[in-house]
Amino acid sequence: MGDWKPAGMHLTDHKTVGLQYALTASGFLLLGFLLMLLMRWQLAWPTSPLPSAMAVAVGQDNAPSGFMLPEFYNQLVAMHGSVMIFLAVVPLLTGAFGNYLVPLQIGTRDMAFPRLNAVSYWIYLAAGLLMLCSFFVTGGAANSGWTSYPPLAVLATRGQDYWLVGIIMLGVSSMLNSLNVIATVLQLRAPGLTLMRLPFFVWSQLVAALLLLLAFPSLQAAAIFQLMDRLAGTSFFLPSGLVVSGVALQGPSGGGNPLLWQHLFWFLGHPEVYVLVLPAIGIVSEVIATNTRRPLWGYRAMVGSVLFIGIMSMVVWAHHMFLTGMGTTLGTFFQITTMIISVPSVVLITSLMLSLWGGSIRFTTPMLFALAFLPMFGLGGLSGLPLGLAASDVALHDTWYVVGHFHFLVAPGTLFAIFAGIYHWFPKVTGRTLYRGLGVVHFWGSFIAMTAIFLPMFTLGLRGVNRRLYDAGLEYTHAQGTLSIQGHMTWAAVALGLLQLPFLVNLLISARRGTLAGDNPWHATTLEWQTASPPQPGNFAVTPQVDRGPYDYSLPGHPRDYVAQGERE
Amino acid sequence: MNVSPWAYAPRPDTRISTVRLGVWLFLASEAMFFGSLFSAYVLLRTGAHAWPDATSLGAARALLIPTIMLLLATRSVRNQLGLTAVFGVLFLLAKLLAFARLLDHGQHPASNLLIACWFVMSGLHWLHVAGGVGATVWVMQSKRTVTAPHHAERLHGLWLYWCFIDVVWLAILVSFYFI
Ligand code: HEM
Ligand SMILES: [Cu+2]
Repeated sequence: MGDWKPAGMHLTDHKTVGLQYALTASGFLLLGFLLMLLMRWQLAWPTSPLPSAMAVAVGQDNAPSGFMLPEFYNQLVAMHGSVMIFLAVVPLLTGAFGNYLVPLQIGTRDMAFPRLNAVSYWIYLAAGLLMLCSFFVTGGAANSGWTSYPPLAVLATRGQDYWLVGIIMLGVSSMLNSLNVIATVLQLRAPGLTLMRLPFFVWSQLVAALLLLLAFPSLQAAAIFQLMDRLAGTSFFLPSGLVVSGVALQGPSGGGNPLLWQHLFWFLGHPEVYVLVLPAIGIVSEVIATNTRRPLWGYRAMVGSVLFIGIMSMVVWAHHMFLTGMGTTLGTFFQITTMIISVPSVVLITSLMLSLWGGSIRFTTPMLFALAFLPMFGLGGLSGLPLGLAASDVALHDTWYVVGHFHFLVAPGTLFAIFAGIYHWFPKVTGRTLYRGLGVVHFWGSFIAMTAIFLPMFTLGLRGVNRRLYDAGLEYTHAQGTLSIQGHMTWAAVALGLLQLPFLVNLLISARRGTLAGDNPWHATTLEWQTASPPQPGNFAVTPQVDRGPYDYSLPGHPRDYVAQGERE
Repeated sequence: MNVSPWAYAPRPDTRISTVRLGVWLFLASEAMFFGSLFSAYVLLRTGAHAWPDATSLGAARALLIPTIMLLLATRSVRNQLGLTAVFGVLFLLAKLLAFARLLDHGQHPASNLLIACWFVMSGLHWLHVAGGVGATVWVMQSKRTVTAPHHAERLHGLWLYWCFIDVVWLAILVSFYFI
């Protein structure tokens, strides 16, 4: 107990790897945020030069006399998306939370393959740095969107190669990590910890790992094909007779199929969004159970739903491709699967809401974030239904509506879950509690700012304004009425940035001066709270023996309002 | 080193050892990888106006020897690990020669989609064989540092991997030459 000392911990210890992931991914999160601020500034004032500090940071090449080039905006969009998803949020959920917590929650010493686990982190770090280096090559970073659709991406500048190699490496890293999580959960559970006694967070990690294990290879294959197209002159994705800027493309033999990329990409892409979502729901479930002092409502239904989502998410990918002219039969299939997969998602959210019913709710900081997660995530999910129906998607596709939809899921959705998780488990990791006052400011500030940024996006989209426009639609008549909203959204984004300062200050101060937490400050039931904070190498002095479910709160006839999972009677 | 209780012996409730489960999970991921390559191949081929004849990749007969090498490598895992490595290396060399010959005849990946698919798919398979040889040498090397049951479990994992490589190779051969 006491001060948090990573020294003496082994480089393959799951807690060390988890913290390495946490720190690195937080760095990438900050970077993704800064890229976004540049974008937002440009969107708000497309005709004015950037303020001098920004202009210097961006450089003359990208913004001559302060005016941002469209090409540079494209780099920002592509890299903001890629950094946020592949380098920040997924690694935070799986690499950081998953690595640190899964072995603790199942009552074991470490992951099943500790060395592979460490290797997975180093590959991830190298891949991330490689992707970032691309900002400094001619033509700059990847600029064909995080989706890298060909032919555009095949003909793009050098930076795209870095992006592709980075993705291939990330695939290896995530394979090692997810293989580890699955093997750990199945093989290393403490005696008596049956599958139906697992905390829901562990279930969410298990399914997310399965998705990554089985879906990422398809993007790796696609990336190899695209790399060949770019470097070896093949035409996997280049059709015959391609005309670029009015000139027929010479060289490649043609005959390829650009849609092939889209299929391979979205075969990963859709499961990937569930990787962004399921562990977030897992975190929120733990926080809600602890802070309502009652078991999760419908634990079995939740486990069933998460498994069903896992399977279904492999057969919905082409709902991202309704505008490619697929036949109505195929379209119908993917519309139906998309509507079906929304059912278990609703079951999960409904169960969590019903879990609040009749609970004695403690409004701790993590609980505030977890509570806000529910409606925000719900809004993101429900706004997705019109995108899953081809008829409405024809109008909404590629507009700001889509950007609003998925940001509600990933920003006030997943990011709030991550914040909830940090406030909840910080005492376990450091032995000290975060201040509540600063936490409350952080919560309300972020909540209001996020809403102010993302809610207007639906309006822009419904008015038909396209996404990925470097001037926010300045040249279109139908976008004129929306330009002033962009300014408000940008100020909200700046405010969001400033409101993270109380959080950072809180982390820095509390890690040294916060009140000592003890082993179980929240009086929680799951196994990670039954050992020291921070846990010693090896985690448990005695391997826990489990003979009860994960959420034995408020059992009648007990002196305390909880019975810990490892406790024996 | 702390070895978890079920690393090499089956855990009673899951009925599998951790090492073996790890290998199966890895192979599941690999199957999705090659599965993606094959579906791309099918999509490109069925969508093409004209598909060149596979004999432009060289006669099927010329691939007989590498194929036998590969099968022998797998067969030797159980009893003659050294031979596995040797046959594996022979396969790698034979294929390298075949690739070089193709390039000599002006058949580049850029020439047409058939050759592009061939280079990518059998090239990635080649890398997997190279990985298999590496793994074989590692299992041989580390034999003395682990107990007999540990070694046996690793051998089994290795054998599964070589079987997988064989299946992929046969699937490549059949889909390029005989369909
Ligand atoms: C926290 C505040 C965030 C803000 C204010 C923000 C803002 C934006 C904006 C303005 C765009 C570009 C719209 C365009 O020009 O088309 C965008 C795109 C995108 N963002 Fe965010 N974002 C945030 C967080 C995140 C997070 C956490 C993720 C992922 C987990 C994410 C993933 C993406 C993706 C995938 C794109 C699409 C990129 C593309 O079009 O290729 N964003 N975001
Ligand atoms: Cu989708």
